[in-house]
Amino acid sequence: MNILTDVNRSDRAPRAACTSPVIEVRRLRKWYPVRRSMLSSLLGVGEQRYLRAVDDVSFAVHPGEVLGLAGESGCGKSTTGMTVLKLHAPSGGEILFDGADLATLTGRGPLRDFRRNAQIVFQNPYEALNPRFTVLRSVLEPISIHFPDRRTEYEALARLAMERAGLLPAENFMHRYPHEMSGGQLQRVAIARAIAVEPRFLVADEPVSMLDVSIRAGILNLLKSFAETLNMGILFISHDLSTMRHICTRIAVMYLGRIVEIGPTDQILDDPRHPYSQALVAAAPVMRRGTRRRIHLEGAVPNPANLPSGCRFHPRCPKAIDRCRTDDPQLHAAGERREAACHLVA
Amino acid sequence: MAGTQSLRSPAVAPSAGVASGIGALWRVLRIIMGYPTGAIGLVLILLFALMAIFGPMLAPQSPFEVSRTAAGGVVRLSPPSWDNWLGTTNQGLDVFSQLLWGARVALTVGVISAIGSIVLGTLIGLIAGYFGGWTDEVLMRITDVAFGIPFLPTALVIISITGPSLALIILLITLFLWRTTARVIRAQVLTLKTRPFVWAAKAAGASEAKIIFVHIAPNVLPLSFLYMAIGVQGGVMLEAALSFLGFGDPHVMSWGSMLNEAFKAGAMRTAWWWVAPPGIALSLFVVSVFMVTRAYEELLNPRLREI
Repeated sequence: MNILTDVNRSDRAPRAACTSPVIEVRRLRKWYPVRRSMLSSLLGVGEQRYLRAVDDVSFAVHPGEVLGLAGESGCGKSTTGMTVLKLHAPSGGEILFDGADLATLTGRGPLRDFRRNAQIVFQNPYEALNPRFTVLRSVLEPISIHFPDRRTEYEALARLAMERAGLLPAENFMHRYPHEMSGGQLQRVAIARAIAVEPRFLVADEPVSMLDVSIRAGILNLLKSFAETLNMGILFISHDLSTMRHICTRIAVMYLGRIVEIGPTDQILDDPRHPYSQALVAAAPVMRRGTRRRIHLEGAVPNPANLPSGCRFHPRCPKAIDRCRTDDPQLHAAGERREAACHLVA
Repeated sequence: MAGTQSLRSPAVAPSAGVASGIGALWRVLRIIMGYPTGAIGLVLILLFALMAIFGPMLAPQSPFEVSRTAAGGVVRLSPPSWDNWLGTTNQGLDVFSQLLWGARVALTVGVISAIGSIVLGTLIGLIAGYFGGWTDEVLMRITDVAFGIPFLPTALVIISITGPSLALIILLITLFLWRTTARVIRAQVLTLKTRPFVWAAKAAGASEAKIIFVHIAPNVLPLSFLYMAIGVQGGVMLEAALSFLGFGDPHVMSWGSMLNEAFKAGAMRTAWWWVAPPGIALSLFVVSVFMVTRAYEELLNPRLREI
């Protein structure tokens, strides 16, 4: 376990600020067309409506940084992660990898280069691996695709990735099938596959939410160590603020396809400015004696195919004013290195 | 333990498949042997297979060779005797020999058209399910049309235009059988393609061909094999139906054409030794395939057992 670095909260230096981002998205959109009736689409009557899963989302992930994407179920966190990796085709906006827009890069070469450098770890480790592949074959897949001329080193590269992912000794796991392993082990295999080609950007889509509490810390420390030692930029998607405090450098809070607040972890969690972030932070359980103010949100999350006018949070916002009903607030500076999308936050 | 493992999730259980070769096939066969009906069915199918392979060598005479008495007369419509174990037809042909030769024709048609139809159906299902959109729309509408075509009238018209041959019959049966496989495989692909391991392969940079054939196809193959088994049975029956109607290949003797000859001779009610053997062989073959596929289906879909 020597690869795992210990959690050291004071070590969360904002080192990312001076380097250029490994990945940046600008006004990223993923809209799904809502199916119209055959008649109205034939006649061209009625308006094509869209489910706005991701709606004008912008952020940047720097090398060595873990950016948290927080929000409740259905707010578009996972869709954002998939769209950033171009696993879903974006409906609009730009994805910049190393400063170059992926849409303008043509040909297989650049996309291949992006695929090598941007990998993903999924929530459900039981579904993340092909049930018919041995562990070795799963880990070898990206290696064989991206290093076709290093055939003799394949097994050594796979072993290195597995050891980095904490599967020690690698020989004990290589020839197993997924159904012979535990959830924590499977997640480490999924991580080994993701880092086998040494990507510079990793999307971690709720990587610990299906694991036992007892093994979560190990996986989180592992991801954190990749950011620190391999200088990887990580987009960490989760609904669990306590794990985010553990691992994230910065946090972006999402609500209904939008980022409503973004800033350094401690500031977002200890002093949320946006009313939705405040409610989200207040809802998270804390291990502390004493009373705490809870914020109860009224109503349910609106349908993302039928968004409210103005600020999309206003129907549930305890602080909504008249302007919120008509004006859609944009992200703007709300203190040092943080931004919020709320009329009440200056 | 292979049995309990494979029952966990249908169609993707690692040990239920044939992808990992002979070992997996052997495991599946052993599980099927565990069901009484599966075991009986497998033994019967094995007997039919042996009959198809070695039958013509064991047959006392060719299916078109006329039996004669010592005096040179034709042995017409003789009941079972020492010389003709299952009797003779109205033209003096040996029924037992015809039955043995017929097994080869039946299984050839059944197996080739079943393989052809699952290859075609699986490919169409994979492509339609994986690519979706217009590709899916076009392929599935073609499948709908295929579902609307009645086999016998269409086959009879085509055979009467081009003339009967075994190859044409196999082709027609193949083109008739693929449709169900295509639908079922497509549905399976639709659920598989959104599984994280497929996304991960995509993120790893795998080509679409690789994703379809390396990641998705092996996970639908167990279902394809189920439909192949069902297809063998369908192929045998359809060939028998065509032959019975007199549209079979006149150069070979199949169980269907034996029944057709008996019918034309007006011997259906009188010469039981002529009618019963092909009839029983057909029924027994269909039942044995059903028993095996039923056991295999339960293996793939454990929920069936609760019914």
